[in-house]
Amino acid sequence: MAPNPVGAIAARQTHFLVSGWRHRQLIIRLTRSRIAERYRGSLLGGAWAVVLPLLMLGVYTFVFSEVFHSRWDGNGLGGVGFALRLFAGMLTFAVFADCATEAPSLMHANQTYIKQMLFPTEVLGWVSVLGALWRFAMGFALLFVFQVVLSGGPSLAVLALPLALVPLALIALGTSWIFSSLGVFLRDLAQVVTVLTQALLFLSPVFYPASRVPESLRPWFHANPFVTILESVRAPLFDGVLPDWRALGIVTAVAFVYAWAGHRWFLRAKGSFADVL
Amino acid sequence: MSSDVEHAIAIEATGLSKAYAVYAKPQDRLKQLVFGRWRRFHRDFHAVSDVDLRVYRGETVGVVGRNGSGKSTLLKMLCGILAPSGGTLAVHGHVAPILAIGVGFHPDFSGRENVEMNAAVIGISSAVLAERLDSIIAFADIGEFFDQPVRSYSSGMVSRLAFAVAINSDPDILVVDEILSVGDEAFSRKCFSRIEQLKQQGSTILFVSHSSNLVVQLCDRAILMEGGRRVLTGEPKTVVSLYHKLLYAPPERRPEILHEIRERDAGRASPEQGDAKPPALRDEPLSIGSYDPNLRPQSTLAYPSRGARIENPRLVDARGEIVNVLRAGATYSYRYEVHFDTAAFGVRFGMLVKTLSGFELAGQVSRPWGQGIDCVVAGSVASLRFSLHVLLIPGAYFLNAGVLGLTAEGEQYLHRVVDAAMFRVEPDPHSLTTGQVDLSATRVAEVEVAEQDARVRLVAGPRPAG
Repeated sequence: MAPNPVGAIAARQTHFLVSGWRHRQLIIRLTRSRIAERYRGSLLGGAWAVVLPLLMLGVYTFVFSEVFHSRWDGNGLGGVGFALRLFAGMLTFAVFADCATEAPSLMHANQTYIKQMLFPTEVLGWVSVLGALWRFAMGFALLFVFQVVLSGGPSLAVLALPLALVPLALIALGTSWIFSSLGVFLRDLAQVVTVLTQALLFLSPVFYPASRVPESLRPWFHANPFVTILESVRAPLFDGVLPDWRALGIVTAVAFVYAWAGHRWFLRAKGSFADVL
Repeated sequence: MSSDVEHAIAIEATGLSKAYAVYAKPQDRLKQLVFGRWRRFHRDFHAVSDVDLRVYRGETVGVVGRNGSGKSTLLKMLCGILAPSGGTLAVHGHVAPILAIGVGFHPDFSGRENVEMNAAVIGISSAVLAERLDSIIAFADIGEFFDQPVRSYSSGMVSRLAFAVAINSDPDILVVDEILSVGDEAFSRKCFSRIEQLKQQGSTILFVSHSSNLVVQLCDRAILMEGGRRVLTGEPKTVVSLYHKLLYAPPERRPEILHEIRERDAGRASPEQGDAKPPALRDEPLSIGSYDPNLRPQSTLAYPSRGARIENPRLVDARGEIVNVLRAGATYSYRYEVHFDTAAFGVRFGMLVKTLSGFELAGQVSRPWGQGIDCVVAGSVASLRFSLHVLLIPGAYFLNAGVLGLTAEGEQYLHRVVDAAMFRVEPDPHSLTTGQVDLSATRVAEVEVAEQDARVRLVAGPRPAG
């Protein structure tokens, strides 16, 4: 029965991994219900999780192979191949984009928790990221099936793919914590974040391979962690090549510090949430 | 402070305050953020100021006060939902707040799913929940609705479910904000018995309630908040009755009453007895009447009781005999007893004389408006005696009896009996009076005296357990 001095709600700093582990049951429970909530009462229910990405994939294939006759790079890879690569990029980037756009209103959406209950609000970041990862997993399963059907069994390199998701999840977490706490005080943040996310989408190699970027701009381009993340998702899946470990290691380390700092900032700010909401 | 005392303290607060920054315009908030170091862009609103509070382990403390007096803010600080802006606060133990009903319940999920969610939110692990699920289900007692979406619940069912989860979390400190009033009588009773049980187990309980009865029944101590400050801590009975005084006072009298309350808090010798002492009974000479066994009201109507019961309404003459045939110009005594099943506040008693056709002729109350008996504990019996000076023309008359008390909805009848008794005034061959009332001047004056003289004798019964 430890004493619980003033400001316990704000001041007690715990490492984000520790707090995430401590609240794991709550996080899992909330994530599951958020996912269920999304489809509860709809006609197709959970099938939407597969139907939507399938529709998207169909549209991409049509537009890029039939309308644009696009090529991914010099190897003459077009049509469905292009669509699959694009789809992989979209799915990956969406993990970040979903969390970033949800974050500014995250605390407002859950204000009853904040104002009426003793609720560890920092878990909402985890819940947001896990929900996005779940949608990624659904889409990815579909992508994987198509890839196997079209190009045969994947190489063992695919096993390295989850490692590319680690920095992705960390960046999404950190962003969720930072934007959700700022969103409490700055209601205009939502608009800004939408635009920034769009900009980042086009500045990341989602619609094009990183190799298309002019040589002179490469150093700047690679400062964007999504370059490494997206390449590390595509390389094992489509080319059977292992990711660039050095780049991935650096990005993961940076992402870890980012998430840690975001969590720290969030804990500092959360004490005044109930005052403002 | 010895470690023993320290160990016994559940909550200790000194100078606890909460000030909100109030911004005239939203952009001021941003300015404050950026330029706050040099200038202030807001004014402070003090929701709670300078509250000292010590709650011992196992104590049940009630917080009362008018709306906006800072009760809820205080509770929220004590459970750690709001960060205090000043003072120190130490809370020892696991706190379970129940501040609002069904918070976080999702309408599309079943009761079971919501219980699982809610349990996770308030920190009950899955293993513990599995163990307690049966007792939660039993406590909520909503039958097969438990597996139906919460959307289909009545509001009563939602609160039962929410309360069932919270109260089964075995908190060291239970903090409850004005929610026990929901649900039906039987469920409230179940909640109280569970709270009693938690008390026995040594849990500390803090609650805000507008139900004065609850505070008196459940609490060891009560705190009165006014304007964000704690103005009185003391025995629940005293605190609640002063709270009522403050609540129903006209605005211009409030400062005066507040002053009185503060005086008492400063530790004046308990003036409660002096205040509640009924006026000395003077026995007025009564006349002799007679009794006609056929003269009994057929239309007696007793309203449902709200914690008090009027019993044995009767007219008594000089010999102490029950009479119903009275002599014009003579004086008799109209008496009844009131049994209090629950505590009551601001209690006044009344009577009314009506004609055969139901016309209301004259009534009396025991005390002027706003000056009722501060507090009557449960189990008390009040004996009422109203002087009845028969200034009436011959004929049959009915008597009403009523008990008024202050409740959350204002002054209400705690019990009321219409046509409780009847009497007949005998014809007087020498009478000069016509019409309904005898208006001879001296006698009118006596009616007023009679009104002043409505007598109340309070006999305190045994206090209820706890």
